[in-house]
Formats: sequence, structure tokens, C-alpha cells
Amino acid sequence: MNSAVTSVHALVWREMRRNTLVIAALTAVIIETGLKSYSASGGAAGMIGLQPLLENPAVAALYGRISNLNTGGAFVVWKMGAVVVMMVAIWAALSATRLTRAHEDDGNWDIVVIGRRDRREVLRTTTLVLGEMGVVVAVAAGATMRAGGQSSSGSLYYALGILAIAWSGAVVGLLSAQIAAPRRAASQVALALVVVAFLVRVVADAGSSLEWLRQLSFFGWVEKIGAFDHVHAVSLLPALAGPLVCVGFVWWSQGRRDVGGALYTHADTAAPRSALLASPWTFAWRQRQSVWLWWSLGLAVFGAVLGYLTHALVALARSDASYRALLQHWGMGAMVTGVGFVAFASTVMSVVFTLLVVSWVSSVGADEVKGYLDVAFATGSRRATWMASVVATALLCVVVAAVATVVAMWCGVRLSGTDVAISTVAEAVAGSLALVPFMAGLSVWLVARAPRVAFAAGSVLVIVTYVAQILGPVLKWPRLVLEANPFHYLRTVPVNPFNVGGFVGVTLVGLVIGALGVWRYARRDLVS
Amino acid sequence: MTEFTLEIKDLVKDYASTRAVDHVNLTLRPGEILGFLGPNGAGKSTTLRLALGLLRPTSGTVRVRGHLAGSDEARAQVAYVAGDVALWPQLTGADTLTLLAALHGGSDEAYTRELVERFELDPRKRIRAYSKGNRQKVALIAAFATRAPVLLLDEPTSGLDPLMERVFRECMVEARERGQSVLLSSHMLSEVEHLCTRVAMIRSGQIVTVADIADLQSRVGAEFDVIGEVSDLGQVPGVSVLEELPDGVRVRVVGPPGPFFAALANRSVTAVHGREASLEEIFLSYYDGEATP
Repeated sequence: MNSAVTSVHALVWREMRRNTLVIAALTAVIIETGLKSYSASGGAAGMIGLQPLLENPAVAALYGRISNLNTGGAFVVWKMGAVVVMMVAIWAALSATRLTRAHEDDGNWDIVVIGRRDRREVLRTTTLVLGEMGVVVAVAAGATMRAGGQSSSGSLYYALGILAIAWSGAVVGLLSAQIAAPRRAASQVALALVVVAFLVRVVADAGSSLEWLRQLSFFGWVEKIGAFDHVHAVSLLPALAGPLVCVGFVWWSQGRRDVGGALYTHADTAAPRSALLASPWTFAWRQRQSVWLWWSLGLAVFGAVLGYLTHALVALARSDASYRALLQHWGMGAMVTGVGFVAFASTVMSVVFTLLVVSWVSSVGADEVKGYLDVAFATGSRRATWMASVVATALLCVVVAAVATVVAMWCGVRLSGTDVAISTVAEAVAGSLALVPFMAGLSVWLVARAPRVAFAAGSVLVIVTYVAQILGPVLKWPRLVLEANPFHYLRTVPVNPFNVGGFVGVTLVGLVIGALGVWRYARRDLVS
Repeated sequence: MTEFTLEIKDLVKDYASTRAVDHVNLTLRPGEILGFLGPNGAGKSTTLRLALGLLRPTSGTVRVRGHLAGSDEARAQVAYVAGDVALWPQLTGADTLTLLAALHGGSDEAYTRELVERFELDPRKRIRAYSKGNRQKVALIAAFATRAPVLLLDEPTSGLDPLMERVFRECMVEARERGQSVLLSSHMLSEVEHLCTRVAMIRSGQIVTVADIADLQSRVGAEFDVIGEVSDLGQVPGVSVLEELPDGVRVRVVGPPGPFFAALANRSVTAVHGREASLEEIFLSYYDGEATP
């Protein structure tokens, strides 16, 4: 590499090194925790009860297909696999839109590309760094497996699978950046494509007649590699070569459009529309209209899929005593009835609801960093009012999304052939919102302290605390640690009564943290 | 009510070990346009952002018509234009003007429409589709249309073409005639010279001088090209030779010009061309260290 390319390479790496290390560490922690929980559950012997579950189409759709749980590696691939691959794919896709579309929007590379380096060279270097970032995460995944006592070959195939996911996610981001502008639109397209790819894999695994669909999704290609199961090394070829081919298309398409342009853009003009511009309260809603729409839609689809699994999973739990015992061990004993399953599924939804709040509130930090708030705060609104309006609309959005979820989940439950009243589903989903006020307060505090990283920090916190809540009791973590986790206070409503005391306590903590955040936010320097 | 619309007292702003603003004192009178000059990084934008309440002072105070900067009352009295305007990209120009007016608590709608025409802005375009100059126009229209008593403008014409600069100057004059006060930070010295009677100069966070432009001109002096026999002209009190010309000499005269003209009367001079120092020359003299503040 010549010195100019080296400089661009170093610059891009400098921008991405921190979040790459965070994702690598998070991947390692999830895998390590999964391996420990496998041992704590009795290893291969303890998994016998789960064996019938692997054949179940609904379970296969959700977790992916695997033929045995004889090793910790296989257990991690199955139990944690969806979380890890979705996290890595989304991270890679958003990193790609950030490094390409966001820099193009801001004109950051203009001064470079008019010099000795052209646009394609900068894109090539950026692509190279995205590839290297994937390698870092893959190495972390493989090394953690190996260090956890798993086989070398299994660990290697698993690492290669993670690498393929990271590369595929990055390519989805690169493609989206060519298709849509500005960055927000490109990121939404990228996220939608990742979710569609995942859903294609879900549908493909739901029945043998649809198995061919796996060829259409990079999640399907990676699943076919079969790390810690029946290894199918040939599947590495499309999984790793597919992204490289797509990169070629990205380079080709970039050369055929203007800097700042995209293959598809919204119209640059529109009729004036003064609706919802009268105050910070209404503008907070208008500004995020597409956000609540997409989140509500996504949550509804997720709720419907979970609801549709009800009958199959409940029937399995009823028919298999060892599986029931395992569910008890994992704290999921309630899943032996339709209501119990809905209650448990709703606690899973709580993660998405809290992520919605984090995303919504932390967008204030992003707006601040871009300088959008300067005039508003200098000549008009109070900062506290602005923040309050965003929090209020976040809560409203959660309610809207929750209603959509209730209806969709109930439809899914009914379609699966299970008789659960919609009021019961509503009760379960409402119970899953218990952490929303707390997370809103925490997000406010994060924006006040570190607006640039508020979203990343909040999201990581949600995922880590949720995983810790699942695995902490199995791993017999100290009571103090478990009780410090907000998810500890969530209950499988209505099977278990809503934890009023816990809700009040966690909400009060959230209110105090949020109030401190508002106080700080109103008094600190703006960072733009 | 204080006699000043903007009163900056002993203002200090530190960033870790760096002092960005160092005991700045500045006042703005009703109906005044005060030029705020200084090289890049001198502390102009930081001072303005402190006056807007976007930054918190390490010490000192800023008052807008008697109210502390950043308070509800102060925000209601000011309008602001940044040098690099950042606005929500998905909104159209018209939507942005509506929003900013609503956040400020209202604006003169008829004047807004007039300004949109005068600045030749297409309000149907989305912010992301505007050029830098057009984004600047949106911010300027929003600021002028509020009729706020105090305008804080930070490089407001960067990106504007000469025609629009002229419109801007007309709007500034109208604002002054209405009694609005303006703190105008700018590198466009001709613009400042045209609009301001008084300027403040800042260097390394410290105010170097605050004075009428006429006073500064007299301090720096006037330049004369003297054609003819000019020997020993540099010996005359208040006169310094700047440059030898082929048929004469260029001199600067500081202070009362009487001795200079008396000396010319005793010499065989065929022509004298004089002019006062421009603001640019004054600026350069301060920052090149030629003049004593």
C-alpha cells in the first residue's frame, strides 16, 4: 500500500476500532456465557430433553437447524446463534453505511478524492477495513470457542461463519449506501435487508419443502456450514465468496453516480406541510414518524412469529417430561401452557421495547452532534423541554408499538390453533413494558453524559443485562449482581403477578437517573 | 432596564488547559451593528455561543437586555445565524421556517414571505437538497423574520453570492433602522466596514480593541503618495515613509496632519494622492503587530 492509501486505511480504522473491539468483546462474552451455562446445565447429558425440540419446525425456524447438542459449541450455535449473528450483521451493515454514506453526505472524503486518490480507491480501502473488522470479531468468536474447550475444527468453522456474516452484513450496508441517501435512509434500507434475510432463513427452516429458500439468505448459507454439527465445508464458498462478488457490484455502481447521489432518492422538493411543527412536543413526533412506523411494523411481525410458535412449543413441553424439567431449570417453566408461552414471549419482547426507547431518546444526542439543535436551543426551546418532549413521544411510540404487537401476537396465537384471549396477550405485553420508564431515564442520562455514543452504550447495556438475566441464575451469580439487573424485576405476566414493588423501585431509579440527566443536559456545553 | 442590549462582563471560557475566551468585556447598544473581528481560532464563535447560552462560561456573565444568556427571557430576545448552518435535512425550507418561528414564539409572516422573495429562496426544497448558500439563506430569513431585538451573526454571509450579500446588507440596514442590535462576526471586512461604525477585535481569546472605525483609522493614520521633490519627508513629526516610488514616496501620517502639509508647502511637490486606511489595513496592522492596541 502506498502512503496515501495507508493514511486512509489508518483513519478509517481509527474511527472504527472502538466499536469493533466492543462487538468482539460482546461476542466473546455471549459465547463464553453460553458455554458456561451448557456446563451448568449438565453438558450433553443435560441436553437430552432438548433433543426432540430440535426436530420441531417452529423451534428450528426460530433458532435454526441443528442435529445435536452434544457439545457446548453446538449449544451456543443453537441457543445464542441468532443473537450473535443478528448483532454482528446489523453492526457490520450500519458500520458500512456510516463509513460510506455518512462520510459522503458530510463531504468528509471530498478533499481526499480530488487529490491523488479517487473515489474507488477510498471505497476499496473502506471495504478492506470492513473486511478486517469482520476478521477481528470472527477471531474473537473462534478463539473463545477454542479457549472454552471446543474442537479446533468446530471453532474454525464457527469463526468462518461469523466472518461470512460480518462480510455479508457489510456488503448489505455498502449496497444500501449506493441505493439510498442520506445515511438515515441507507441505514433503514440496510436494516430492512438484514431483517428480510433473517426472515427468509426463518421461513426456510420452518419446513423441509421450503429448505431451498436458505440459498437466498446469507444466514442460510452460514447455517449450512454446520459448525459443531455435520460440517458442510462447500457452503463456505457462497458464504465467503458471495460478499466479494457483491463488492464488485458496489464498486461498479459507485462509478456510475455523482458524489452525494444514490440510485434511488426521495424527491428533493415537497409541498410545505406545517402539521406538527408548532412545538417541540409535536415536532418530536413528526421528526420520528418513520421510526415509529418501522418499529411498530417490526414488533408486530416479531410478535406474530412468536405467537405462531405457541401451539408447537406448548405441545412439545406437554409431551416431553425431560424438556419440561429443562424449562424449569432455565426458569421457563411457565411455557407449558398457551398463556405461559405468551407470557414468556412477551418478556423477550421487552428487550425490543427497551431498545426502541434507547434508539428514540438517544437520537437527541445524534441531532446535537450534527448541530441541528443550535438554533432551536439558542433562540427558542429549553433543553429540558426538548428532552421531555422526546421522552414523552418515546413512551407514546412504545404504547402504539405495543398495541400493534398485541394484535399481531394474538393473531399469531390464534392461527397456531391456541385459544388465548386478546386481553391475556395485552396483559402479557403490558407487563413487558415495565422497564421502559427506567430505560428512558437511563437513555436521557447517557445523552447528557456522552451524546456521541448514547445509542451504542444504551443498546449494549440492554443486550448485556438481558443475557445476564437469563444466564446469571443458571451460573449461580451472586444475588447482589442479579438484583442489580433491571431485567431481574420483570415477571412472566399474567402467569406470575406483575411485580409492583420491583416496577416502582426500578422506575424510581430511572426517574432519578433521568432527572439527573436532564439537569446535566440543561447545564452542559452543546457538543456541536 | 440596562442601556445595553448585550453586555458581556469579564467572560472566561476554558477547555481543559486551553483558555478560549479570556476576560472578554463587550457591550452592544440599541440600534448598533458591532463588527466582531479576529483571525481563525481567536474566540469569536466561542464568545457568540457563550452569549447564546449554548456554552457555559467558566466565569463572567453575558446578559441580553438584562437577562442572563440562556434564560427563557434572553432566548426570546435573540436570533442567531451560524457560519455553517445545520438543519434537519428531511424538512423543506418552508417547514424549517415554520418550525424555527414556532420555537422562537412567533415571527413576522409577511416579512418572512418578503424575505423569501428577496433572497430568491425556493422554500419547497428539502434542506438536504440546498447548497450551503441556500441553507444560509434559510437561517438568515428565520433570524430576520423574528424581529428579535438582538441578532448574533457568526459569519452569516459565508456561501452567499454577491447579489445575496447585497440583500443581506439591505436587511441589516433595515434592522438597524428598526432599532435592532447586531453583533456581526465576519471575515468580510468590506461588509463590516460598510455596516458598522464600531468594531471589536479579538486575538487569542482577548479583546484587543473596541473602537469606532474612524478612531481606528486615525490611530493607524492615512496614506499619501507624494509626487515630486520629497527629501527628508520622513523627518517630519507623525510621518513615516512606507515605500519609495519612481517619482516620489508613499508615506503614512499618524496624528494631526498639519506638520505634514506644512512640510509639503516648502517642497516642490507636483501631486498628492491621499486615502484613509481601510478596515482591512487596520485589521492587518493589529494582527501583524504594526500598531499598538
